[in-house]
Amino acid sequence: MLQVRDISKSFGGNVVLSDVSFDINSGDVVGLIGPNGAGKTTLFNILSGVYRSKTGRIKFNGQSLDRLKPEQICKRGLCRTFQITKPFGNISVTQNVMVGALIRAGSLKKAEQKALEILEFVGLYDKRDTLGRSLTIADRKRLEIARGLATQPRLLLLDEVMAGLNPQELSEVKRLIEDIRHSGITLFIIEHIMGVMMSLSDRIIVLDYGKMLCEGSPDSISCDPDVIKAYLGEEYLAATS
Amino acid sequence: MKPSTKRTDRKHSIWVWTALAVMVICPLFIKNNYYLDGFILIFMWGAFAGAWNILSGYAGMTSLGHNAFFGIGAYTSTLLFLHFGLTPWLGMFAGGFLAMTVGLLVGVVCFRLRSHYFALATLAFGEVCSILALSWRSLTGGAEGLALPIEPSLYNFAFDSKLPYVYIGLALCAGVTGVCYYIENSKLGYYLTAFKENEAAARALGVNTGRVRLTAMALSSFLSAISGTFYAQYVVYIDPSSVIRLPLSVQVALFAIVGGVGTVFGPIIGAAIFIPITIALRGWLGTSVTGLYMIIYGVILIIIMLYMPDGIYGKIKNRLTAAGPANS
Repeated sequence: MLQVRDISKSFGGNVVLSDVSFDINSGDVVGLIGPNGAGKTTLFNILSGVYRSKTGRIKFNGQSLDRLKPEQICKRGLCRTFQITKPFGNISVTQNVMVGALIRAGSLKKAEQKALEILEFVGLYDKRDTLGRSLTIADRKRLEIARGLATQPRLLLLDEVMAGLNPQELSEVKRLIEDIRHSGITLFIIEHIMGVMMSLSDRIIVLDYGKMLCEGSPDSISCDPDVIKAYLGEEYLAATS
Repeated sequence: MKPSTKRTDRKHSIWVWTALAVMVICPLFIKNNYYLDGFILIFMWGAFAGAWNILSGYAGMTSLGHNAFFGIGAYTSTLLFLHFGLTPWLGMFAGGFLAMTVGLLVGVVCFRLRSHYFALATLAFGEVCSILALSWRSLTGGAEGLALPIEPSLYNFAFDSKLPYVYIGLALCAGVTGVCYYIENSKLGYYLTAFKENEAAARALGVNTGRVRLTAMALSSFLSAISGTFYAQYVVYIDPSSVIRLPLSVQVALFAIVGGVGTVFGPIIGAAIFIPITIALRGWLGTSVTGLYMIIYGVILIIIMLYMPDGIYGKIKNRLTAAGPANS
């Protein structure tokens, strides 16, 4: 479904990503982990068209995404959420989601129907008339997911939708992600909470200082020496081995 | 803002129709030209402020160059009439399309700029146009301006009495309001709001923010130019200082902001409140102490801005939604 080959990005002299390549297959849940500053969000920004890669190419369902703008990429079925949530503050939650639904819906009425369906699905239905800016962090994250879903993506990129949630909220969002997966949407997820990532993902990609450290099943990742080194340091690796 | 698909409050539509009825009937009983002149100015400025609001309010791209579009409308229809005898009814659309073309060019060049920089760029654009109007004497008559011959006829868009102007102005103003109402309750309105609230999020959701802003610019510049033609036909004399100088943009922004920016009725309410105040203050105080009426006008403005930061209509709307039953 998604083929990424040799993606690189640098800001000034600062290399943020170098030669990143991977595939995502339809129906998968793929996790993207790595220490802070590893380039995870930058990778999302490149995939969604916010930045352009210096090198390499990206193919989505056989089509090249290299020269497309964010809105065009969204229309082709690849949508992303934002780590720092960006609700439309002065309109209602329903209207927020309607904006996403409108690119596929023919009329406002249909978009509203779709939006309400999705709000029901993500558990924001009771807050449908609340203004975007008055939502709590947990609800803002849900709104990000809801708006993304409203565009009816085939691949949804979730950028830390679980950060800052309490255990109760966390398990709800986890269930939501499983529901999304079962609805047939492929997921590519950035997250720091390892336990959740291990249980949700089919495959995990590890980034460190802009380089692909490794890629594999959750189990193989968790005992990879390079990953342990990146997260816990060389001393830890030396002490345990 | 009240959450529902119809973003404009249906509940208050009775007030809108009542106000419209009052405005249709009232002028019939007013024989005093002084008051009728007030109505005409309110409608003219209401239409212009509504047009300005499409770009600056809904899209949030504050323009200080709308004086140019107003002027393009006034000059185009007037020149076409003077040189080719073309009826201003058609000249009005010629001016509208010319302004739209210019507006789109300005948009293509300036939309990469944000907030203050966009305002400054449009201000510069407006000034260039106004200097052009002043200096291109062979075309515009320079500072002396252009006078339209007073030959009342429907074809000439010129009338003996003020009443036809009142109703044409009302139709224009109602038309602009209708366009704004349509925008607010359409995809375009949602996309413009999304752009204004957060551009990155809007684009990530598939909104082509460049195109929706150009659409807003096209409508806004077109309708501003139509208002300009109306002014020219009413006053039958145009010169740079009355139709294309910067103070027009400041004035129009002021009406819209004080009335309620980004709302359907705000700009018209702004014009309907401030034009009578200006006329009355000038009438009472204009002759006694020079400039005093401007000071009082300024003080009223400051008070409104302090106590109604969302504009007059914004305040009313908040009150009504807070007091009324919840929509859900």
